[in-house]
Amino acid sequence: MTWRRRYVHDMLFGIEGSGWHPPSMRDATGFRWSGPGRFSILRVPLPEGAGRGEAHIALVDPEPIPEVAIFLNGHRLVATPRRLGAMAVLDFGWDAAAMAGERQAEFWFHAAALRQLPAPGQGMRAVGFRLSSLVLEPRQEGAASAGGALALIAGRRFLEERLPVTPGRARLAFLADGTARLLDMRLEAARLGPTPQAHLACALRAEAEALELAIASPGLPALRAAMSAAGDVTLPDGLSPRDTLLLARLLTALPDAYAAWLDEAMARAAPDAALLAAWRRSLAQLARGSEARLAALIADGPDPFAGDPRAAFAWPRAA
Amino acid sequence: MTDLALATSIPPVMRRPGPGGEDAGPGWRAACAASWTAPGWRVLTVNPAAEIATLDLPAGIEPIPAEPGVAEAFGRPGTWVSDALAQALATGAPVVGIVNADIRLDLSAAQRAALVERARDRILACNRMEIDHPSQAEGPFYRYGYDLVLMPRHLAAAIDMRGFALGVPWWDYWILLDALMQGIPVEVVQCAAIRHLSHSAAWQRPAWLGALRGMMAHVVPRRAALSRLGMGSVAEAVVDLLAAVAAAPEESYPLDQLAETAGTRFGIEVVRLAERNAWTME
Repeated sequence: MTWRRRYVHDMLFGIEGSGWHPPSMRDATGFRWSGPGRFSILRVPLPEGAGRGEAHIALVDPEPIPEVAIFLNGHRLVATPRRLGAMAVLDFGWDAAAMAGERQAEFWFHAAALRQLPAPGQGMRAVGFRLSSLVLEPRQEGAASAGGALALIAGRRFLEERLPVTPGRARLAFLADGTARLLDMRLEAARLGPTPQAHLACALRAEAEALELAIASPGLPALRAAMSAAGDVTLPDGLSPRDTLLLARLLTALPDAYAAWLDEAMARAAPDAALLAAWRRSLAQLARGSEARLAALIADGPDPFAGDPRAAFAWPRAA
Repeated sequence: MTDLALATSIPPVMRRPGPGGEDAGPGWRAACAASWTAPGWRVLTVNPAAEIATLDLPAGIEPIPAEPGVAEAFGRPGTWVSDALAQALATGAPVVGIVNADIRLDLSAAQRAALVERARDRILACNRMEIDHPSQAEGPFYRYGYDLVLMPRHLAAAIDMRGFALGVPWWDYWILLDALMQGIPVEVVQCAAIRHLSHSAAWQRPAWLGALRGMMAHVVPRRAALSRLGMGSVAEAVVDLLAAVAAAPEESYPLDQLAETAGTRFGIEVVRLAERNAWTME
């Protein structure tokens, strides 16, 4: 006999994410229409490791099952549709890699088609599909451990007080150069330590799983970093030890800026989901590699507590 | 030896829409009743005394006269949940439960054993799988109700089910809420072998609102315990609204409408609360 833990996310309640209309109820089934764009995001807590899930989509007979692509943390999932009474169920699974190093599960739903339907008292609105609930069943649950709690608390305080970083608001442009993917990420109102950065221009070039990155502040030469195909990150030269740590912290925060941009930009958009997913994975890999580099520097580099945390972030000047 | 005593209240007549307009109710009623008994599972149907002679029960189901009062409270004859549970407890079974009369249990022996074993130290609240035809093998689960509830006898004795009747909404929510407020572990279980032939809702709005008021009478004195469940500010505000409305029904328009909306919201809050610990049994 098999007992499997089930995590249920009912779309009638408040959700974290974007691209959903307010909840509705029909025939004792609650749901949210996706829309007004094709791209909808749902972020939920989920243990690391592999698992399986079901997206329950409410149907009104004789409606066909909507075509919806599902991604988890930028990984495209194979979703198999089936009809179950007045519901459509999309069955999907994921491997451990999709959740590796992730703090939560970010599901993307990409509806193949939109239609215009009247909303009570609101005129017409674009809708995709009615997501009723998301049911997730991890195959194995990680054991919770109290070990290291003090170090965790101390570490968080250290990072927040000594190495505070805010990525700010991102504006993105996706380009290509032959087989390379290019991403121009402009960060507005970022902070590196105590120093506000009105504009940071981040130019990323991804090719064959490797990544090159140039970060520039207006009027100053760009700082160059790189990530190998194996995920090893090289941070730029010319910065003080503290500022090197701050820059690494900024790289770990880029996925959050990307996620916020998705929430903002995908409304009414018809995105290239595969391209978005590729960058989602690249930025997540860059963040993990930067975190590993940050950890190594804090562990074995110059004393991270030395120096004045109130000192401004110092961009290297041109030689 | 009795492993589990299951109480229900089989109606004298059951009607369900069938193919071609035929009434599938009698066949479904018989199939459900025949599905409950099994080695170690003792089944009681607790009915108003006047109904018992008309029940035409299959072998193995024991009829027991119900305590009076349901008709006066809800407008139709029925059985108090507390009465049904007490009758199940009186069998001495270590695990007791309630099953709605229109649920067919297609459980294997191993599944029955697993349910009983798991219900020895916690409350199991099982969703039903909705089917449109008796031979349908797969259907959606109905997450907003619990049609088979199992629990160990010591926990059954601790649950206060006064005022709730089988066949009237809210009793299943209240079992879970009462248990959770007492710190009793509750698990929501989905198993494809717990099946229900779909039909439109049988309850009437006045009975639904009446039962909701009854539940609020239980909730209000234990408001602090409810807060400790961490249901959230909206859920707590809804409880306070429902309590105020239940206490002053003479305030009239549009309190019934308010209570219906708030009650629906509170119901799904209870579902969300219970689903914090949800399981699938295969």
